[in-house]
Amino acid sequence: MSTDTNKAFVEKIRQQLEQHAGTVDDATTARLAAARKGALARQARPARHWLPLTGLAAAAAVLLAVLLVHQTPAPDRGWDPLLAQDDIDLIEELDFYAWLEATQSNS
Amino acid sequence: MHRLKESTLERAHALDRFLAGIERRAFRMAEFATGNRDDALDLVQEAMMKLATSYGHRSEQEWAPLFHRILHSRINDWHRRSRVRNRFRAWLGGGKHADEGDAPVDPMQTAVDRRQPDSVRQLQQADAMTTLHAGLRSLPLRQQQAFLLRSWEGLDVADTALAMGCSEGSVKTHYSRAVHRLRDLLGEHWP
Repeated sequence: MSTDTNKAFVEKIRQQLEQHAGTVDDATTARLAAARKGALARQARPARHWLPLTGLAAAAAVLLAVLLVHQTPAPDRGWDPLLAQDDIDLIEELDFYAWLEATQSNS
Repeated sequence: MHRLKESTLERAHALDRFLAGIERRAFRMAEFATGNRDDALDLVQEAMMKLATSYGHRSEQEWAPLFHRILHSRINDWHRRSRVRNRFRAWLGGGKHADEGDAPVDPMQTAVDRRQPDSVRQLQQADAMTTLHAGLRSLPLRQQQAFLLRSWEGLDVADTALAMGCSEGSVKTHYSRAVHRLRDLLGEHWP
């Protein structure tokens, strides 16, 4: 197939496509025009450079809050020292109480 | 300040002219690729928006390849999404068009209206377009893109490669295969 034949063939297709593009219906043409106007209007709008900064600041604040919450020491058990101490003793000597219960049930 | 405003206005006019000049071809290209008018319109709209907001400040010579880069990237995304959707439908047992590029063509859009009292020449042209439409739709997406960008949009190999996001060698291969395939499909005596 010669290059010239290919060129002529492609040119025929191009002409056909041009005619086809010219037959876009009115409704579609109107929607395309509206899309174009919308794009140009969006471009004309002043850039909001502060938006990314605001987002960054908000993200930093959230991160800081999360870090602070996780670093806060566990609540002081001082509000009821006797009860709290009993609980700790029970947990620390859990093995002893288990053994005691087993011994008593055997006897 | 006044000159700056004038220059901005001039660029806006230039972009308007550029988009007005390209929009119908872009729409038809998206329609060939998707087989769906509304999807094609959405894709062109997205490409216009992206070009205007992100690349409007670039030189006018760059607009065409950039616009097509955006549009064809969106078209590729559209195909990926519809592939997933079709697979999902196939799993559910309702899929009829699971393969890429086999999106259903609306017969009402491609049918020749023979009721109009057109001349024989016009009918022949409509038939030729229907055949061409089917031929283009049957091409693999990358071949279709390379062919339309090179032959219709008139982009050179380098700009087509930029628009398609591939190498110049790939563009040449896709284009050559597309021409041969169309020759086979349309025949020697088309239109």
